[in-house]
Amino acid sequence: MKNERRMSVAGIDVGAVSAKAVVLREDKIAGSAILPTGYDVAKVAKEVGGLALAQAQLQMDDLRYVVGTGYGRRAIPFANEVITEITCHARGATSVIPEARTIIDIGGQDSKAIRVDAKGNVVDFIMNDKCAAGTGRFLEVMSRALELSIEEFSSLSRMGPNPCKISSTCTVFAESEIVSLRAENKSREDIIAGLYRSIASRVGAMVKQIGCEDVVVFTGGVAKNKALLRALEEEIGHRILVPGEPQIMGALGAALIAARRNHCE
Amino acid sequence: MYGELLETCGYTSKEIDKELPRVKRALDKAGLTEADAKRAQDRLVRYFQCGELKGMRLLVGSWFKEFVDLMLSGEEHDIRIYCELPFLTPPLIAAAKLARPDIHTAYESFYLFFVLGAFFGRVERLIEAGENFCLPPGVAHCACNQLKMGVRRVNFLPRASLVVSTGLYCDEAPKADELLEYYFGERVAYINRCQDDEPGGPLIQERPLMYTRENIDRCRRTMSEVIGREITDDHLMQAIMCSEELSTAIEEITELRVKADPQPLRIVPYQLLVYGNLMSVNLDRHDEKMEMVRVLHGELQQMVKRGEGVIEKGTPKVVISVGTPLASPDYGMMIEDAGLNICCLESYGSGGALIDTGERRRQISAMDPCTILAAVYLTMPLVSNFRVRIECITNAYRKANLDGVLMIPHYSCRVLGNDSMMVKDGVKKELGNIPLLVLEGDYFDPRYYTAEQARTRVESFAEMVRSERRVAA
Amino acid sequence: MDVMQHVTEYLRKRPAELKKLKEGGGRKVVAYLAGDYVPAELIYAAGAVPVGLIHGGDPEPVEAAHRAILRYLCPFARAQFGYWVLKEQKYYELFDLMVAPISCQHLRRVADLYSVYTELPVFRLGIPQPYDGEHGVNYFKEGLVLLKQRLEGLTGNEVTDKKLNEAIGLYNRIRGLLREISELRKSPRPPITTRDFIRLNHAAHLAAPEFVVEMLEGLYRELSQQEGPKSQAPRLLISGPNIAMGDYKVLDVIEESGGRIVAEDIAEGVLFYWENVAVDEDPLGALATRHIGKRPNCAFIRPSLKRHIEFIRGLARDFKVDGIVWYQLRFCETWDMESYFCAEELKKLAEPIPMLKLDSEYDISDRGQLRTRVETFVETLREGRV
Repeated sequence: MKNERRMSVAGIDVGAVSAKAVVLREDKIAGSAILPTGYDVAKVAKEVGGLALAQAQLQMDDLRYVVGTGYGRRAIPFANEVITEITCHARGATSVIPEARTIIDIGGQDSKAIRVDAKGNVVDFIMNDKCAAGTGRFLEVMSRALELSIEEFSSLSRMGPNPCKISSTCTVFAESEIVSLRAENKSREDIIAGLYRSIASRVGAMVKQIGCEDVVVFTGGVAKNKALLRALEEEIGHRILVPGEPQIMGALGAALIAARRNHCE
Repeated sequence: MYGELLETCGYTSKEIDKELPRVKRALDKAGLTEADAKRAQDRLVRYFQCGELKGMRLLVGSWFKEFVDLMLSGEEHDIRIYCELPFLTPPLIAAAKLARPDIHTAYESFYLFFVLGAFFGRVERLIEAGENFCLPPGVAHCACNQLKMGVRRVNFLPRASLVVSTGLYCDEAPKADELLEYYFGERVAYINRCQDDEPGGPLIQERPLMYTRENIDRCRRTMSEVIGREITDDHLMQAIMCSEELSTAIEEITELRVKADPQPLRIVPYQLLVYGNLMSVNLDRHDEKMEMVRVLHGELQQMVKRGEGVIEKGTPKVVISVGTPLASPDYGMMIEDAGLNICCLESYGSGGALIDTGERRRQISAMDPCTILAAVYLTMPLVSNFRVRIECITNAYRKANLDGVLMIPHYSCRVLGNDSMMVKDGVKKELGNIPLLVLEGDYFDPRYYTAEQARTRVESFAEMVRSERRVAA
Repeated sequence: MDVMQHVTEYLRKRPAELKKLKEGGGRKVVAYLAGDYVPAELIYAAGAVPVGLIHGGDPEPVEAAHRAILRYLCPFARAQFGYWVLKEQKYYELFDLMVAPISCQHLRRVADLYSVYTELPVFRLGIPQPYDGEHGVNYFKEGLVLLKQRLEGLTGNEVTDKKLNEAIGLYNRIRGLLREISELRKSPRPPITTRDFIRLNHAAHLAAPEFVVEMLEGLYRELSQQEGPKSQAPRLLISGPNIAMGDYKVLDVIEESGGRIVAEDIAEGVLFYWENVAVDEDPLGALATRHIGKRPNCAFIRPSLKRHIEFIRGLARDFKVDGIVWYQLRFCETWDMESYFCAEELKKLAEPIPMLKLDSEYDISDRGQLRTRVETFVETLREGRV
């Protein structure tokens, strides 16, 4: 019993907006959790780790190895090692969808595109973390500007048939562009469709820079947004798969790397 | 007061006694305090290996001395000839000083970026002054031009009698120099070039070469007029030979760095060494520099013999194009801490100045000095065209058996920045799908593209390189 | 205006016509980049069809170029490659040779992009930077000699001095006509808007020269009998590197805001017709002299500040201009730097000329912002005159 418990590892992914944890026991997911990051990285890392452990009916002492990742990775006090979220997303996504060769990850404040090989190794990547356009933040701002909840905003049924052209490259200016469009009596549906087009084109441009190879996988919290998924598929011209729990792919990848380290020791 | 700093700069105690008053005057003029000096000392030890390597102390010292001379040139010289980044034919300026030793020659912006920037960490305010004056953000102006404007705007330095402007490379620098003439009354001489050489053609192309040669010659005549003495072919040859001598000596360190594992010399001090020669506009300290290279080489050889290094043995090796930002030495260290050994520079060594060395040297040595200057500098990879850059990087990769390519294009450089994707594609075409990262950066301005910002990408790249290596192994 | 309609129709059919000339007639199409550096008459004399690559103004081609180049390049240059990527403007695919003047770094990059990513051949014509001296003019002339040889090889036709002088005569006629039409705008009631005038210049780069001559002759006859509408609108000079075909947003905004542009200092305007080529026993030399030695200005030339400001002042005086709109493209480093110099010099004049500086990256969205700036400027000029 004790030996089995000692085979447990964890991956903690502290992003700018949310923190995720995955606990593996005998290389299977035993527990996972998601919490908003807040301002205290160390605290939230412990909390989210604790929640995942509770789900797995384990305790901190049972963890043999912990890998930290994400924006706040260096502030996780109990991590044995830190790995970047790019490598972790690659590992996590390919473990769930082994045919994955291109991974698009849109997080709260950044977006990335990653090319991987058959073994889940990163072959090329590109990151946008300087600009909110094309990230979860953009969606938040726009849904507020249209006075909709994020769920309503993400619903496919809300997409209009004549997407407006949104040309602002900047989130802040796009917001004012929406206000003008409303003043011109454009329907919310058409504006929403235009916004998704705009995000998709920004993310699509990023993907094109490193090339798009099937199978394309979408990870990160924003991947649950069906409207964006559809817009992205149209933009890049490839079918896109979304894993069951796209938001924890980074933490899963970190945990898998932890497991590998554990086996090697 | 500044004694410790000077020790870290390799000054002997006799030199310190003699030079201290001058140094103090220079640092006061530059607005640098004791606290700044202390910080500089820490940075020199941390980033430039000045604690353990005497050769490095001598190297930083040689730059520091140029900086001190520059700050005091107003009171010590009547005639000042400055050149600014990206000036490319320093022996031309050095030759002027040979013709008339009492003038002051300085590669102004380089000294400021390295000493004021990399050593002291205090170059931002000059760049800001330039920004607030006439080169605002939003147009992607290159920080070297903002610096030169800022320097004049706040009267940081005395006016030059002549600014030698390089038009060999980009359009922004000579245009900014034109503004210097307009706003600040400094006389400017341009060295122009016609960049219609055919990429993929022979390295030395006759027509553009001779056009540049003629321009260099004209500039030489203007300089002669300003200093009131003729700058002869002999002066030029002498300057060129000194540069060649220093270059050859530095070659040995370049070769050592490529092969050594563990790596004894970090990339940031190495860059300082390489640029030290490239930017030599004053031959008074030539012998000192030769000695410095000899000492450094000796020390590095000892380290290699003892199996000592500053970067862990077995660290993956990469070539960097163009280099790490000049005024941000922490950037280079961040890359090394992420687990990469930058053992090659695109433009220097294992490619670069050594393309086709035998043939190129043979062709060049048959020419007159102005033509030599044109040929040597036009064929440098960063200057000629993107195909040459592709060749250099791929040569370096193959010859040194590297694990990856790291490209940090200077975003506001209309030449290098805009070549970067063509170079990346070209390199990948030649070498296949090797680990290659392109990181937009700023080569001169330390404020925006910082090491912290780049860290995640560099670390991901390092992880990529490591796993690629495991696969290959 | 009927003629403008006629021109628009002609241009709409031109790509198809070029295709026919190529396939049916065995003619070669030789494209050249903007800036008034490449002598179209040389291309014409070789029996090839000269076509200017001058389109711009839309954001999509600019975006399309980002897979191969950074954003920090002028949008016009990015668009020149972007049009090829998007495969929408036929001119960008059907040429047999591109003559790329290696002038500023931006256009140089366009030449490189075509060399790397397309199969289309590129001839680089070096543009020496200083104006003065025989050295530069000679260098350029040597380049023209090489170009001539390349064209002869491409078309199989010899370019004799006689043919070249004839072509020069034809293009001189176009330049002369444009000049005559341009000068009509000196009157207090210009019979043609600058927007239309610029379109004529654009047409001159794309249409057959014979058509252009006929069209301009007809137009001049018509216009010289007319007077434009009476207007209190301030008279403006627009100065900039170039105004692409399709980049009419700024011109429209100025008109809408109550300003009237009566003169332009751009490549697709005054720079083209300013100086004729001397008809000489050494036609290549004459071409070199006119294109380099007698060139009014472009910002990347060094030095150029004084020459530029003199030229602007002359134009402003001749066309009785109340204010200057400086329209530069974003990330054009040299024009940006010149703008500070020019603004200050204009203020220092005995009768200072106000200047408004605008820049654009061909975005759709900045129209509102442009409008505000221009309206304010026009209002200031109006107040100033009362």
